Amino acid sequence: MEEKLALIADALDAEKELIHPQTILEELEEWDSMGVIAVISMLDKKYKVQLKADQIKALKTVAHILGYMQ
Amino acid sequence: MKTSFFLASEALSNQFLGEEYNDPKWSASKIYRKTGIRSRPVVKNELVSDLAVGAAERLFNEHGIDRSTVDFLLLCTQSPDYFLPTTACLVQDRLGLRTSIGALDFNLGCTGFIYGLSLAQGLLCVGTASKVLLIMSETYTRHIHPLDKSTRTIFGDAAAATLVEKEDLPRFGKFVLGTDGSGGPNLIVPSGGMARPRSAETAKEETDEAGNVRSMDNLYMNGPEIFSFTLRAVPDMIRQTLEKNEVSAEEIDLYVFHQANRFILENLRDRLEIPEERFYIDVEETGNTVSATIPIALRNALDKGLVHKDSKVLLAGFGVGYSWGATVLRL
Repeated sequence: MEEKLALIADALDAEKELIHPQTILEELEEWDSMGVIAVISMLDKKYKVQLKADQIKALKTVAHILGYMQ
Repeated sequence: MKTSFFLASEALSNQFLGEEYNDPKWSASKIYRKTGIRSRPVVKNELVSDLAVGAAERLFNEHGIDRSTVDFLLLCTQSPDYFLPTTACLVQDRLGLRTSIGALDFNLGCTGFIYGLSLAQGLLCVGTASKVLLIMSETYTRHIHPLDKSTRTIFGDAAAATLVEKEDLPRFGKFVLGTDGSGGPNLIVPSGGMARPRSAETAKEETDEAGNVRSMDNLYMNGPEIFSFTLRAVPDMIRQTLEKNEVSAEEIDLYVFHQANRFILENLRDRLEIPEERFYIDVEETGNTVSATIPIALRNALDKGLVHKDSKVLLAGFGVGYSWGATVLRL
């Protein structure tokens, strides 16, 4: 879990302390279009998951991202 | 196959953009880190026909081509001079090409060069033409709102002209093409066509949550979704292209993809496990010039000695439409 949270923080270039499962993405300054793209890229590279448009739109919390990191 | 290109006259640097935006998230160094682009050519007053004529004149000069031998003109653009007449017809006249030739425009973005090659191949195969002048000319910056950082930092204006001759036919490989119009709304200029003519209403500017300003008259790009589409579509297309052409990934001397931006290209390269030295990335000075990126990249790779006559290259385009296409070519 710690490792996965670190991957998300790293992708977003955000402070690790800010990234918890319940973190609301829209409240993160780093969750702009480049941040979203960086997370899509991380999921593709590390977990071979390619998100579709509606799945990207449905990402609201860090837990939602963790859901794809299986 | 001979290619020349022509860049728009003004250079838009990161430094200029960084100062104009005055936003720590969009400083000159951050723009470079995000896109891999230092400067993009942009038009001041030039039209698509001007860039097209510039590229074609350069092609004739640099390669000693007699323009009277051209017997078909294909021109790809999404920012034509007029709704009508066809830009290719205006360019035929300005270049002083024969009047006894065919000329037409086709409307595609980042896949224009691949589709253009397949159209040229068809014309040459059945004998309708023996020398096809294939021009990619684009001025996307005319669609872009100056305060839309997500697009203004990426796109540049340029034209590329390629002569495809009957003798080139044995050098053509097979094409893999794809289309999914359901992605249309993700990369679009919403107004200006018949579906929604320009009006005071469409010119109304809005600021999105990221602080980018645009109206319906401007280019809109849903960056994350376009990126995700690319990751979904391109790796499969590359596998199919290798299979269809009965070549292994190692037999390709250079992979030349649509030069969207460095970030997307690096992701695709990693995903496809292509060694760096055989994957071309060249966006620093030109940015994303839409349909012109592949022929510009090919010409630059030739000039740098990365490929030469008879090198095997895999060309791949992907983007607006959605549209995608790839082929293998022996130079």
